[in-house]
Amino acid sequence: MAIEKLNLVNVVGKNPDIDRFQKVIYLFNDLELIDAYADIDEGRFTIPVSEENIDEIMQMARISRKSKKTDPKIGELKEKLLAVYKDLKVDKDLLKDTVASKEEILKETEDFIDYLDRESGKLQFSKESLEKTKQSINYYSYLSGIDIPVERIKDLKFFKVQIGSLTPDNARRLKLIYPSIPSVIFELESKRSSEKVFMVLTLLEVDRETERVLKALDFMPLEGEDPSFIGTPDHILGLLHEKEAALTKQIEGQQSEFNGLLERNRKKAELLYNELLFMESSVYIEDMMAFSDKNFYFSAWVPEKRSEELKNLLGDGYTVIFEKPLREYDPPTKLKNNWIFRPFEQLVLMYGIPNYYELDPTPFLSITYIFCFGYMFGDVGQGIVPLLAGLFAEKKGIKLGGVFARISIASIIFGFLYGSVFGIETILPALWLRPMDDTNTLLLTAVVCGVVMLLVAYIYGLINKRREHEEREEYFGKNGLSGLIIYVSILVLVLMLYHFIPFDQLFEDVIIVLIVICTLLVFLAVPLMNVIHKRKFTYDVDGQYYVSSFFEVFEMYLSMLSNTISFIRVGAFALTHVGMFMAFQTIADMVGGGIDGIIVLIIGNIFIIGLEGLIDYIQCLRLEFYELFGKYYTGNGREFVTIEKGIK
Amino acid sequence: MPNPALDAKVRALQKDYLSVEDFKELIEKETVHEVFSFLKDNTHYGVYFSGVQEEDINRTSLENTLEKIIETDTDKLLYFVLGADRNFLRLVLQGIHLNSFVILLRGLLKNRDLTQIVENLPVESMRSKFDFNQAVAASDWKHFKDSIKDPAYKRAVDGYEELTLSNLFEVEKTLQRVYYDQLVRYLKKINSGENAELVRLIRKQIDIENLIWIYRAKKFYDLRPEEILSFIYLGGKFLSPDRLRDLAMTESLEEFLDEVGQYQDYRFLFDTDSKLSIERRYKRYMHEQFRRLLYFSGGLTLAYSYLELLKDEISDLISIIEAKRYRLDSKEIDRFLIRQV
Repeated sequence: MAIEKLNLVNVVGKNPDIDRFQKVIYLFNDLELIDAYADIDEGRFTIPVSEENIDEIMQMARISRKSKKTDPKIGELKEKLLAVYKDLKVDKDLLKDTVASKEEILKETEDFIDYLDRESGKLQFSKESLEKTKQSINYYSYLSGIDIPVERIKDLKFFKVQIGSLTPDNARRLKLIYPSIPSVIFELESKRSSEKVFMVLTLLEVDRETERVLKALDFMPLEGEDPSFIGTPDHILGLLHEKEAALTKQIEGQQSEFNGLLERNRKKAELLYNELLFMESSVYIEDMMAFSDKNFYFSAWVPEKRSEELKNLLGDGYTVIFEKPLREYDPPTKLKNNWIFRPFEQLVLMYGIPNYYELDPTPFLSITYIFCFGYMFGDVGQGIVPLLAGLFAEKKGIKLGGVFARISIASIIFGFLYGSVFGIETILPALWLRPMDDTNTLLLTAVVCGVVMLLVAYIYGLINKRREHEEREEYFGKNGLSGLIIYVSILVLVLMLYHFIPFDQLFEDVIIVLIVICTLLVFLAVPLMNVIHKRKFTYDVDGQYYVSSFFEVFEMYLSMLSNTISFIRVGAFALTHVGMFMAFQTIADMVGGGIDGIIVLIIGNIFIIGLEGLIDYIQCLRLEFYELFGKYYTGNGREFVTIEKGIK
Repeated sequence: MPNPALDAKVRALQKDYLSVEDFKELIEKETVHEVFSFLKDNTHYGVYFSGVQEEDINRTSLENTLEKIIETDTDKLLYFVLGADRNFLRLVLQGIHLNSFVILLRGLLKNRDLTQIVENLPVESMRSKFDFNQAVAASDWKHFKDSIKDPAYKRAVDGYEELTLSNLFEVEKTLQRVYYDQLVRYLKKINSGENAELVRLIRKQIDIENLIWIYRAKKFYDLRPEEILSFIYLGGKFLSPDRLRDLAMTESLEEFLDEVGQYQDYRFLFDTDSKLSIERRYKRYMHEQFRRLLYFSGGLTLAYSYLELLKDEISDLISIIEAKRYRLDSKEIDRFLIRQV
């Protein structure tokens, strides 16, 4: 439940081993690649100076990039495979034991595709024949009912017959022109509303004039005429329909035969597909590497716990050096949470990913989020519905489903505490209280819980500031130690004021003095840091500093108050939840109860689950991002990008 | 339905129109660079020229930057309209892209470098019916045709197996005819009370386009009536298809002009006493009509009028730049402008 510890790994290998090396890296995947060329250029790529490494170190002075582009053939072959097998899966395990070179893979894939093409040849031919037959059926159906053999129409000595279509607008233009062109034109009943079909009978002598006009009107001759057909159109249509039926049956048989062949070769297709994917990815890996005449140089971030595993996978023949990350290397952040908290990572990412040195806020956010949502939306029945929906969504790969499932469990637990099932409070006994009966306790408990969360947030903040070496913020910041002391002191004063703890004048005076001192520390943070660092008191401090510092102190008190009171909303929304159901219950009574009343209550529950659930979800997010994150979280890190993500 | 958001947006944009005084000053400038400096320093066009240095500017780049503004503004206005109004404005955008496509088409025929041509054309909108990247990458007419995404335009050019000098004109006219056919269909959809004036005006515009086409076909191209009628636009205001046929069938140009003379609304087009060209008379007439609409309308009519007047303004700026390029006398420039200065 934290941020994964990383190592910087530098690898030097011999150029002939590059293919094997890349495959190991690709299969390992859990690495964020670093531009090795830039690393060497900037002197960050280090290998121990020893006699056995001397050649590698010498060669580093003559490195270059090998930025080659992806071979377009790889993409083409991949597309061709996918055109035949639509559902090929990425399965890196298939590549574990393969040793073929890239050239061999390309050759094998080409041969495989040729083989599939040959085998599907008959099927394709049948499909094309069917398509042509359908076109012919369409064509001759326009002549249906004409009791003249088509060969006689074709053999007319002085006339030319054409069937074709026009857009409706151009059909209007044709009608306008019709009186002045030397052709006879019949409109045929069109089967497509977007086009109008015409038969044009033209005297061959004046054919050119008609052709020019038809061309200008985008006349599109109908496809499907076949000079080999003889007889009347209806006779031809009969033959064509028979041919269509025979071809359809033939295609079914050929298709099932071809499908069988595809299934028998599926494993091979999947292997080749994954090999091609690897070949595409290797360009990305190669782009991030540097090369000398003899060696290649590789650099990446790797999880500390998997460093040894990587070294073992690579085996002998490589110089592998692991280094602890230095702050100036700007290490990426790899979140590591258990299955309960993992779905909440996406809420954290919405704000920003923690930097490598920060505490991962996910566990704290998860616990507080689950608690606050349950508190606001406490109902056994109304919790079960989003729980089931969330589990279903999570199973379908929707990450937010996991969040919904978890917060809904809290709703169910609070439902038992409030004794509420689908808004009805007469079925279950309340294990804690009924929100409407004890509003003060409900609201006050929410604020107390909020105070606890804020105190934890202060502590998180202190740890983060220590890790970030932000001394001023840690000791004198409004969210640092001084701010925490002021906040706790005010809380003690309030508790004393309301007699939760016994009043003691001396104690009160001490606390007030403490508040004043801490306020001054916040106000004079920069000059005090100057003193600590043995600089002049007024170094980098002018009148403007005191003005802004004054407002900062003012804002600190204001935010302490507003952040604390803000948690009252957690209780208030619990009341709204009950109130909203009461409104629907009243409507149900007004419609006279019975079936109508039940329908109203069902609609009410759907409405409450949908709308109020969403509102509570957003309100929780607001509390997390504004009230809590503001105290301790910067989220200015960058995400650990695995090879797979990097390629995408 | 009133659209106050659109009205407010157009009124805000409209404030940027150049004044008559601006045009007077521009006409008096000596060189293209002076025109550029004036536009950059004194008008809203400065925003578009912010990254451009005076020494880098030339007539073509200046003109093209200006033409792209119409596309940008049409794109902007699309966010303020819905339903039929939105479809109509999208069609307007389509018209802009069609012009760019035709320019590329000519470039393809002349074997010019299309990547260079496209840089200066309004082709940025995501909503285009043409895939300009594909068009630019095309090496021949067959692949160039494939860059058309709209089925109606695709259908129109499908029959042309080759693009040659002799059929270029026909291909262009065919594409423009598709655009006008779509325009007329969309006019029917927006023809409610508030847009009635706009629809009436565009239908008159169609009449004028047809008259100019018949006039030119008779005077310059000597086309047969059937060929003329193949490329007329349907859906005009006063000229029915039958009336257009009669005009196309007239025996001579004089007879045609006599016939047109019967239409009071269009008589001005072929007024032989005027020093202006037919094109300029037509543009000025439309300009005045849209100016009137701009002041007394709202919604789509207002938006369309704004865009038409912007087009005119940019066209005038380009005319001034051309005039400076060819060192035309300031007094002569007026007759090349759409607006009267």
